[in-house]
Amino acid sequence: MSVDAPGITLEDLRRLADLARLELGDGEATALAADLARILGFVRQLQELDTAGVPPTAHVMELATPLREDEPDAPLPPEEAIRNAPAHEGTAFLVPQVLDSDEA
Amino acid sequence: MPRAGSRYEVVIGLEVHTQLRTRSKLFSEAPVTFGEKPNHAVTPYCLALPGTLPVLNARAVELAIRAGLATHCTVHTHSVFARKNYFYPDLPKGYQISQYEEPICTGGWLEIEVPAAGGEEPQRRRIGITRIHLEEDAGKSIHDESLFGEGTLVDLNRAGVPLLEIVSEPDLRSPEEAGAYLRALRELLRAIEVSEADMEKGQFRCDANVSIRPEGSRELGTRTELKNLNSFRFVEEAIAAEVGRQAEILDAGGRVQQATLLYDPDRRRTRVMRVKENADDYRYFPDPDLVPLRIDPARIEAIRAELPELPEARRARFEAELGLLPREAAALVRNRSLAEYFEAAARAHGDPRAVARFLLRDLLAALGDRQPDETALPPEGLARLLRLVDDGRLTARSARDLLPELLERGGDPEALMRSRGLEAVSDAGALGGVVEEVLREHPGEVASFRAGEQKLLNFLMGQVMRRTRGKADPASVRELLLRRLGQGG
Repeated sequence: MSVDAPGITLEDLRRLADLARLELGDGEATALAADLARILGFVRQLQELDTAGVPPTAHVMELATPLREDEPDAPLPPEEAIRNAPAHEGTAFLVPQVLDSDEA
Repeated sequence: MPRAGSRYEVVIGLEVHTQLRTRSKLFSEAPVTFGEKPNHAVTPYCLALPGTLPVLNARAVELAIRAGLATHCTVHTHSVFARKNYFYPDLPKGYQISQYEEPICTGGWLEIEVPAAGGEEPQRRRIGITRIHLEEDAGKSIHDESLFGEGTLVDLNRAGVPLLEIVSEPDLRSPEEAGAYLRALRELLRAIEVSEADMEKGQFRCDANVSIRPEGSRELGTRTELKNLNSFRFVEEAIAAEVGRQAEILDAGGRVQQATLLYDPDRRRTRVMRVKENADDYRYFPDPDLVPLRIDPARIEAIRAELPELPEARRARFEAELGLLPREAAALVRNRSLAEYFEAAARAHGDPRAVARFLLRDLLAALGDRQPDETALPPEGLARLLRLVDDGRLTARSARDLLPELLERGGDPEALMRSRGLEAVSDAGALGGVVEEVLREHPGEVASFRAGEQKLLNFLMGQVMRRTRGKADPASVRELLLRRLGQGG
């Protein structure tokens, strides 16, 4: 099977899906690869603009982040904090066992 | 064939995570706590509930600026928060907010004292600081044995606690230098009140990047990363073990693989946790929820003006103004409380070198784990104690003997000296009688001394000291003895 869309190989897609913890069927993979290729195409179109002399920005808004005083506020009642959890042990969340200690 | 370790140069860079001294978290008003029950210090933001947004803590920014200035970094008036994406149950958002391409501080250095061999004065070296950035901590996963096979517990109290990541250049050349760097950095962060840096509470954690290369080579070897080194001793041991492991691989003609390792302190070995096929792919990108952080240059200068005296400046002043030896000055500034105590005592006493010697030799031993300002003996009291020694009223040994009680209960050193009957016996009249007694009871030794056995003087001195229970001034005893032995009969 091959993906013809330029810029995204099936291997790239599998790796992205793995990083995003997505399980993809073959049909989905092909469709997604085509979508992603189109998205890359849109971005490539933007690259046609001459941006020499335009300073790079991380945001489009010319704003500075507002700051908050270092004043703690009352935390959530713990029973509220865990209310939506499918499982808990005391006030701790209980999640499926983490097998390796692979930490970032 | 030379020893394995000697043919390779060791190259170490350290990444330190230190918890900032704030009352609330980096992006939410949740309180920063320690030892609280699970999920008792969380807000909807800490849980990544939909609709919540981060609002940056001003105090955390100020502390980051302070750390940058104290390490001679450039503090940037414009910096950007980025998302570091990975999945783990204790990271509810699925990403950690950190800084990536535009951190708040870059390009500084920290001066360290490199341990020297055999009694020589320590060398000082500048270790480059690549960058310092702000980021939030993750929560805690608890792998409870009683739950084995059933699940993992997640406590998000720590999620969002503000951290500084401080990344060094690969400038460190031995496990001992790495240890010296960490101690200096921790002491600095505590001195400028940026972090309590309590390792037992996980407030000061270290990852080490380690590689080795043939002596003389300029190319860097493949590096491995040692994770979660949580004590100074483990850092040094783990790096030494890893250097040994890499040297064995190279000696056998192999190649070091880029990997993340954990240190097993029981077996004193490093263990590969995962091999990196590629660099970690965290897909960093600027956080759309946070516009850039802008800092007024005037604010930076105001923070610079408020910085307390830094350990390295204090050390230089102790040498230049108070006349201490480099070794003495370095030992005193290693601990802020000790340095301040020393200065106050030196001011009250008048002879900084005498105070420094007594502090480093006798006071440190008597203190044990305590800080001097946690004891009942104020610096002025220590100065009074030393003045009794200067005046010949108390022997140095008796001064040392009084220390434990003075530290525990305080009080006037002179009154304690009297109540313990330790006032030195140095006047010729009182000592003379004791000397006469000793000479009378040891006629054999006296005769041998006069016949040329000089070392018997020490024996006779010991007898006098014992009889005065250590209160006699040794110089006076010696003088009296020699005078009497020089005469006949």
